[in-house]
Amino acid sequence: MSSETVLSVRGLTASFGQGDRKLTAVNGVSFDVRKGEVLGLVGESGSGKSVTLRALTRLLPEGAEVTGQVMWRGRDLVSLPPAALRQVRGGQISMIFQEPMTALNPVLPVRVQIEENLRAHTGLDAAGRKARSRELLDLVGIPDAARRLNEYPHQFSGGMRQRVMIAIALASDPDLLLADEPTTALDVTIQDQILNLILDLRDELGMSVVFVTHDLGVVAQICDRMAVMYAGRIAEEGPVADVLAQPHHAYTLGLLGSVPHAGGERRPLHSIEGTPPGLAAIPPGCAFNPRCGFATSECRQTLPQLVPSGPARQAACHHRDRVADETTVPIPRAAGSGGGR
Amino acid sequence: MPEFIARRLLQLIPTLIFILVVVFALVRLLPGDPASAILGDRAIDADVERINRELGLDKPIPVQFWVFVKSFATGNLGNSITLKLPVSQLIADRLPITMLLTFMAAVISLLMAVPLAFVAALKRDRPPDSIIRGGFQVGLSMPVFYVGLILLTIFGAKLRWFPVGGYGDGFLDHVYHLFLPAVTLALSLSAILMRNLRAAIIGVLDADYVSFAQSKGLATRLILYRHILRNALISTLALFGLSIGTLLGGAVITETVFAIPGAGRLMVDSIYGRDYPVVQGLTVALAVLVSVTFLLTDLLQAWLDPRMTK
Repeated sequence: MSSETVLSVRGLTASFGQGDRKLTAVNGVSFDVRKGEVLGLVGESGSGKSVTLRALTRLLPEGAEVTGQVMWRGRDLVSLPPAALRQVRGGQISMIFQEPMTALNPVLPVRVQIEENLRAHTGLDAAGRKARSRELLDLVGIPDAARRLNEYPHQFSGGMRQRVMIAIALASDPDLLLADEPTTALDVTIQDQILNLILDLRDELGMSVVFVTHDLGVVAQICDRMAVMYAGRIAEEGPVADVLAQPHHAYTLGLLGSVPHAGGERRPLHSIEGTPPGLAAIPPGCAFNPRCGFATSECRQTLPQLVPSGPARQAACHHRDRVADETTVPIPRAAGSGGGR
Repeated sequence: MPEFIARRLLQLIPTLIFILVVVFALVRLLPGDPASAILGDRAIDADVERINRELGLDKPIPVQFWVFVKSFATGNLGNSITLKLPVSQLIADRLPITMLLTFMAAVISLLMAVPLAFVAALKRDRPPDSIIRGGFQVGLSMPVFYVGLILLTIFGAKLRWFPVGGYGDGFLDHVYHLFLPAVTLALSLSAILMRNLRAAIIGVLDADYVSFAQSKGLATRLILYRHILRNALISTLALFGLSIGTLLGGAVITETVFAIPGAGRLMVDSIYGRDYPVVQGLTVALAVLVSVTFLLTDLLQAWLDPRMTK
């Protein structure tokens, strides 16, 4: 795998509302995505991982403000004019959503939803678009593609529907796939199939993937690197195997403690106390300090910066050395799956 | 889809039977009877009996109903008591006028409601939205006959752009004569449609499939029409179909204000004149018209939303 960086995010901030009621969902997030790699964005609900993903191509509701830099092919997507941005969306950077039942238009046949992507980004004529649509359904493993093209989303099963969405996203050969919890709504066996499909397509098409999930098992199964998010910031970042084997941030350690493990002796789950802070009430200092067993007065006053903490790793924790000394926890496996490919 | 159409057509049969039963019962439940209406207050019993025999009203109720159903099956609905003309001919003359008026009103209300609903929804809670909603609020709260009179005074009497009444000759002249009445009818309907469609569009704007369409890099116009409007129209279309019945009722008032010789006027005159054959025939004709409109709305909705024919 080459280490060429395709997407470079610097200081990405996304906020909603005005003045006193302004809420910052993503605060100064920076990361790189390399060619052909799968980067996992991990965190609890409300950690800002989905907003981060959508902010990359400014796919946020009206009234949202995005600042910072998202460098893609020498251009900054944050300041790109709408017309140019539309060429990037779908053509170079595609996105798949959590719930294909609601993300596919219920009143349009699948064929129309694939072909409108092709019409927007390729020079194919009607016959070419039709052939390409069939090829795409084949590619994502939908049998009887020619007939199913004319069917509507409600005529597909949950797993097939997610394959349709992937086919639509991949229609114009994007170089980067943004996946927003695409397997959360599926049962575990189907989840495993879809994850393997995404990995196969990554290999086949040589694209990069940013994969948002709250499931560490999924991260372990498909991601090369991971960034853990908490309260709109990156808590730590690094190669998946290293981070899971030895977390450098107390929050990651807590997340690992709350994952059930199959096999071995039974132990009580260590859930993290409390709930993530609301956007309007992020505590001063380290946002995680009220829930953290390592917290000291420094954590309550000073915001920890994301600094290098090991080979290819970064962490934003004042006590990363103490956290790293904690007993390592076994790497979780994807629930119900055979554990990778 | 063909299955759905067939099923929906079959459903029309019990509806038609029900309409016939209700109309048959209603006419017989009305106060007063045809004989005294025809003969006046000082009729003698022998004449009343003769008239009842002529109209078949001396027969048992089931026999009367059979004759009633047969008259609709053959199209021979008897003669009008006051106008001395065959009822079927009266309906054929007058109903198309009301149908044209209703159709024009429906089209005008859609032409007003759809674009304005779009603007209001996209500029939600900003000045354009407030102006559009406020304007329609005024239109909605004014009675139809009052709006009709205002339009007549301004565009008919003062500006002389449109005729103040009548129906004209030839199709284009008909359309010209019916324009003001149709606008009058359309105002209140478009207000209801606009509010409904605005809410539907706002609901669809936040839908995942709109975000997904945006993530595909589609042109804004395409997203608006193909993804937003089409989905939003599904619920509004149901309301639109239901409103056609109300629109026919509104046509009665409008035809009176604008002196249009339509079915609404005929109905009012016939009720005053106790012209039972006309009331009966016209009621069935209007009921069938409304049923067919509902059928067409359902088919249109099924075409827009394939989930319905599942």
